[in-house]
Amino acid sequence: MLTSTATAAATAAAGTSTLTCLTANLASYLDATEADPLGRIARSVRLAVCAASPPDSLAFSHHAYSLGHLGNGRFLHYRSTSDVPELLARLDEQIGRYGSVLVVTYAGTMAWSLAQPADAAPHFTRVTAHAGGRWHVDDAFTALLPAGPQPPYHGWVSTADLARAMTAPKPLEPQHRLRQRHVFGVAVDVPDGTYRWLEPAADDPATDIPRTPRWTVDQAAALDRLGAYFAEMHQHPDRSRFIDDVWAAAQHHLFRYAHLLEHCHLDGADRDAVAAAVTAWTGVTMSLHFAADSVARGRARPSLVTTVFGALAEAERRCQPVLSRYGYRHPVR
Amino acid sequence: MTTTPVAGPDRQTVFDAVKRLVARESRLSIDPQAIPDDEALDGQLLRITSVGLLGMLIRLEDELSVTLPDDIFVGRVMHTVADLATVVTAATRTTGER
Repeated sequence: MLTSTATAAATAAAGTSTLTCLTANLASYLDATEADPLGRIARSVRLAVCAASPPDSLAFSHHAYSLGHLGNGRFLHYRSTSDVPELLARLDEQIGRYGSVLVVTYAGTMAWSLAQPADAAPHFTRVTAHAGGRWHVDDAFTALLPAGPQPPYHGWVSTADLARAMTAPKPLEPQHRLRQRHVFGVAVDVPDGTYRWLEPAADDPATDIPRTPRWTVDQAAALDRLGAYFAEMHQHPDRSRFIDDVWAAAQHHLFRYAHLLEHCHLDGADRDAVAAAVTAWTGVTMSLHFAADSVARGRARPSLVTTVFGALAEAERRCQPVLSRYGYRHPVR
Repeated sequence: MTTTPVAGPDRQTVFDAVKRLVARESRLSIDPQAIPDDEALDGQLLRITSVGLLGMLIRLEDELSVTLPDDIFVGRVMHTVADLATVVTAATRTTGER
């Protein structure tokens, strides 16, 4: 329920501003080798969830096929080191070979971030050049954060600032580790080491491809499961750690609808269905933050949460024929 | 926990509270009563983000001792001061935990 962006038209205008940090910067990374990376990302969007470790945690899959698959028999892999000279050599090598490299940074340690310094949320950004001891960062991510609007960043940083940005300010929490592991939509190994980045390689790194029965891959069932999960935040306050994953799902779906509206000519009924879904996704994260804040004030709001997820599931159900018609829907596996 | 629902706050009380909060959130040093009912929450005068709106909803619940409806985030687009005030006016006043 944003004040002025909860319409399909506004979302269409928003375009890539609704992408998450990985997808926004991955799209730029792939621009050099793919004809339509944004179309591939838009058509990959889905929502699947799975119980994860530690207990009462959830893993999220936001893409029906791996975004790490580069389409030419090559896949993005995490690489890591704790040695700065090795890191710098590898980044140089990747920039020389591919024109840029995607690196893992952290919200609280990036000099250009508005986030609190202790915020260990993983972030992906693109490093595009190295000259005179400085590194050129192209971070296409933009979002409204609690601290204010985070604009894209395009500028030079020192080696020390880059290494600092790539160092987690504190040990990662379960939701952060799960997010890194499932960032492509499939599970991949995340190696130990202070500094991480992504490199193309020939073998598929997927260790778990989300499919039934362990995963809830049917979207209606996934939304129902999430509604039940967050409705019990008054009994399990730590579940609020996963609200950002729902935010990511909302951003991906809003981008999918923006892409659909921009590239396909929809009739009035189809546009109405999409507009209703956009409104529903726009309100879901805010409703969860409201519910979490209410719990903190001693006001449990379980029916508010289930009402929101029920309405979202209904809006998505109405959109399924539209998504099928234009190639944005995936078979449930 | 149960609460006893009674009639919500009157319309004028809600509009006064809403205008005071939107003025504060937008860092305006004007008389809140000068803000028109149909003023956009995110427009030329007011600058209310979704984060700011969330904080205001919480403060309105506390200040007016109301419980906003469970469907407050369903199918609504709050464009104006009046949109927000209308939602709050429809809220149920709570008289405390039993």
